[in-house]
Amino acid sequence: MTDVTDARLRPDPSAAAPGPTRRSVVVDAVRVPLGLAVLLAERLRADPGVRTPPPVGAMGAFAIGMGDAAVSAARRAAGAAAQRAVALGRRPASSAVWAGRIFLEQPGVARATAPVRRAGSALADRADATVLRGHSVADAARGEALAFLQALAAAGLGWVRVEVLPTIIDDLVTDPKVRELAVEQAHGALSDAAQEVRHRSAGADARLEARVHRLFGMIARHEPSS
Amino acid sequence: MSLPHEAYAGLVSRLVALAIDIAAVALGAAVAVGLAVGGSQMMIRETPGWVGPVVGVAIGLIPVVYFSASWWIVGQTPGGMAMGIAVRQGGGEPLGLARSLLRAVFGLAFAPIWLLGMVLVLVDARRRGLIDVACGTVVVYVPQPHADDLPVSEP
Repeated sequence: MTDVTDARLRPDPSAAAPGPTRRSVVVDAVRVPLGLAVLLAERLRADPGVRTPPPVGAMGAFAIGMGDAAVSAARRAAGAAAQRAVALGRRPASSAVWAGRIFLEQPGVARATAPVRRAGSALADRADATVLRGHSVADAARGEALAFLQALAAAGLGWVRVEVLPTIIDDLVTDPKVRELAVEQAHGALSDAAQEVRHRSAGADARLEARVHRLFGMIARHEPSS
Repeated sequence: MSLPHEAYAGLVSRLVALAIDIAAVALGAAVAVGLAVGGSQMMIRETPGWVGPVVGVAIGLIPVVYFSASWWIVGQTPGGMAMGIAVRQGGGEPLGLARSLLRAVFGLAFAPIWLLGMVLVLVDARRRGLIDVACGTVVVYVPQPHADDLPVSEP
């Protein structure tokens, strides 16, 4: 299993991600689409109930996970096959192995097979480094795509603020329907306030009259209504 | 026409309406004085002697015209409109010019009596003040149309 943490701690200097506040964004024809794909994958994989996206780049994690899974599966398959083969031919093979070991341990043979063993080890190291580099590139591309999107959004908002909003406001101000609506709302508010004042004053009329009548022990002489 | 006791305007509503009217008249008088004096100063850089008497007459006439015209034309002063009250004859008919003028002149000439006579509103069956008894008028609440009764304008 590849240790991804080590790769994060030792990022590739050539693939350093730009900061989010960087305004002048150089659009990389490969990295920005890759980063957009990473961001899209993050968005698709994001849990609707969780606001923050997953911390690991989805595309890189996917690629690394696939790679790791493939390697693990291959190792497991190879190991099982090897175990079966070993179990079947342990005894015959042990003799052969013993003979082969004796053969390989011969100084001449060991010298002859050393380049092959070194090449295999170097190939494995190169594969691990490629995985680490891929992860680092995915992270860097994600950062670049994020900065690109932020710059794009800022430019779009600026354009809307300068070009679109004044036009919309002018249209709203000069629109007779909007004016009529505003006048109606103002008139309605004033009418409601006047109604409330009248209602309260009428209540105050009745209360004051009733108190005066109680104060002087008067009986109200109300004329019958028609 | 006889209305229920609650249909006649009470003391609080009438006093508030009167206060609004007094403020409106004072504002109008101030504007008239300002226009006369300020206009003369601006036009001829002095205030002629006749401006004072003219302004005095105008200030005296403004309240009379304000109240009498309001009661005669619509039965309501601006203060009455704000408070939803109107002046009617004892039978409920609108006031004529003569009765409106009489009520305005009587009330303004004897303003303290007008105000003190309002105490009668508290005890009168039709909530009439002294000026109403003298002029044969009543003050009623104007029925307010409900929102459902308002005509709906076509778009």
